[in-house]
Amino acid sequence: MEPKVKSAMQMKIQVRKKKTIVAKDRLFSFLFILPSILAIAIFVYGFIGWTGYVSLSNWNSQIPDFSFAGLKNYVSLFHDFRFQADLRNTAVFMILFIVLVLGMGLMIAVFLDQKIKFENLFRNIFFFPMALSFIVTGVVWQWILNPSTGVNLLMKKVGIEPMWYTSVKVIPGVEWGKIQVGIPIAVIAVVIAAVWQMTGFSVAMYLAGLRAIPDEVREAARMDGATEFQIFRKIIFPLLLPITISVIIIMAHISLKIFDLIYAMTGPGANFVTDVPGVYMFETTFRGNYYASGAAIAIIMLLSVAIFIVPYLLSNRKGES
Amino acid sequence: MKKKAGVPFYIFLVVFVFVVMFPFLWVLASSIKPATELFGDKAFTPFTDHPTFKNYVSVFANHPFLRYMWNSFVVAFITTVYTVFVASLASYAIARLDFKGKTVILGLVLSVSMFPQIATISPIYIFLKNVGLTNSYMGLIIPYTTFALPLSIWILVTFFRKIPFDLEEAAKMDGASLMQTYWKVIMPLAVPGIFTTAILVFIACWNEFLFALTINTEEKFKTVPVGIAMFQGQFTVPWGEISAATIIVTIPLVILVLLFQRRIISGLTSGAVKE
Repeated sequence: MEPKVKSAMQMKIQVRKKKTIVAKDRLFSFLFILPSILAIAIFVYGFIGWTGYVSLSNWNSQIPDFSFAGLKNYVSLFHDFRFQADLRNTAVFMILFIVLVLGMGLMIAVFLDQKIKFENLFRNIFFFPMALSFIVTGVVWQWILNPSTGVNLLMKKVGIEPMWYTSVKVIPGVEWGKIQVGIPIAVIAVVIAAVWQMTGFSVAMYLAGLRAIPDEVREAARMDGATEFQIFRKIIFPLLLPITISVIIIMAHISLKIFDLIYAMTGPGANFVTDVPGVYMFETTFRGNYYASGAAIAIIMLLSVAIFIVPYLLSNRKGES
Repeated sequence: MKKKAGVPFYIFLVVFVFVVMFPFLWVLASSIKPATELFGDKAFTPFTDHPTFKNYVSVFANHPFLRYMWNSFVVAFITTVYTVFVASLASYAIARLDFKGKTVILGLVLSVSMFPQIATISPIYIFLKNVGLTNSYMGLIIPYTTFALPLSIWILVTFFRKIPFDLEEAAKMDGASLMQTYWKVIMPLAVPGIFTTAILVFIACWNEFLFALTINTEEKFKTVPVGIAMFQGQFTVPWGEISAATIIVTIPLVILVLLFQRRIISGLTSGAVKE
């Protein structure tokens, strides 16, 4: 009898111990996460809420005025020449930037994947611009593409003299709303600088993706008589699709919130040919004291980024669980 | 078996390398040129006949550049240490412990890492002004945490998930408490991941511009990116000095990349590339 009773009691104690461990785990995990949650809840979500609130107010001078203005600030933005130009520039910048970063990144990654010599050295070289700040990139390219002192001095000898970021031309420049719709030449200059800085990222991503594809997959296709190009198009490229999507999302959100590069390289530009919402927001809020208008621009930027990242994060979550 | 790369490959690569390196080399060449050779016909001579370090001296003598570098370093260092510590606790809890609402919390935290900081800048500025923290180190450390924390959690969760679960189970069986397990078993294994995260957070803070420009406007508290952006005077652009300053801030980053390239890449691509 005795041993049985003992074991039952022991079991009870063990169960109690386990329960307290689980409870303790809960408490600790709560304590572990609390500082991060609090910081992010107050300084990010709380302040975003505040920005949203201000964007619906009449606070467009130095004196705070929280009276309700409805969507007035948003409506006037969309009728504003400068903001319309910003939307055009951002769209053009985003498309050119993403296409070039993806194309060049994939190409360089495929080359680096050919078991070449000094691969590490090449990787370092392609990667290093990424560690620089957009400010340094902007300042350096402002000089290189400066029409009067930069590479134009070389191109002059061949007889071409692009105006780069000082050009106010928009191609084809169809009148629509208040602005000319098309590709502003000046934006191309900014895209070149941004692509120079960010291509290293897509190279790294694609290279990691290419390395994850087992050699046997290629071997099998080769045995079946597929050409190298067919293998790439039909097998490798589809396998790289998740990486392509990740790179697109990351580059898209960088283009939508870009500020530093434009600020350092060109500023808003004549006729706002290189202006972006970030620069507009900064100048409206901190140079002009139009807090409500500035807040409205910030909220539009936030929503445009959310369109890209929320579905992406949701699908990522699904894939994990 | 893959084919071995041929000569055309290398020619192609070298051309690309030249394109990537061109801005850097040009700035390097300009930084040691006398002012008269920066423009006009001599702008494209790769090697000047009259090399000079005047620009480098001037950066430190005529501008408080050393002060900028010190400010950047202090802010980036404190933010990194503090954020990585707080984030490592949170990431461990998220990666290992089960609790209600975990996915929601993770989603809310991670989406912050992609939010435009500009959406929080004016309330943060007003808040810091009201508590008297503009033009101080704390004035930058607080807002930097808002993007450094989600970035760190993002990278660290992936690292913690890779540590085998059995190790903790074994420690628990031996009667170790959660804190003991964390400090004695998990932390030593997570050191590479924490180190990677620290490098990335440090670079992000070192390069940050928007908050630094808005919050610390006094010369005494400006950081390097703001300093470089402000080199351009109203009427003249001192390209020689700007080149020298650019080289000075670029070299530490080049060294960091050379030393830790693998770690930096693994940190950046973690989460996005599934292994």
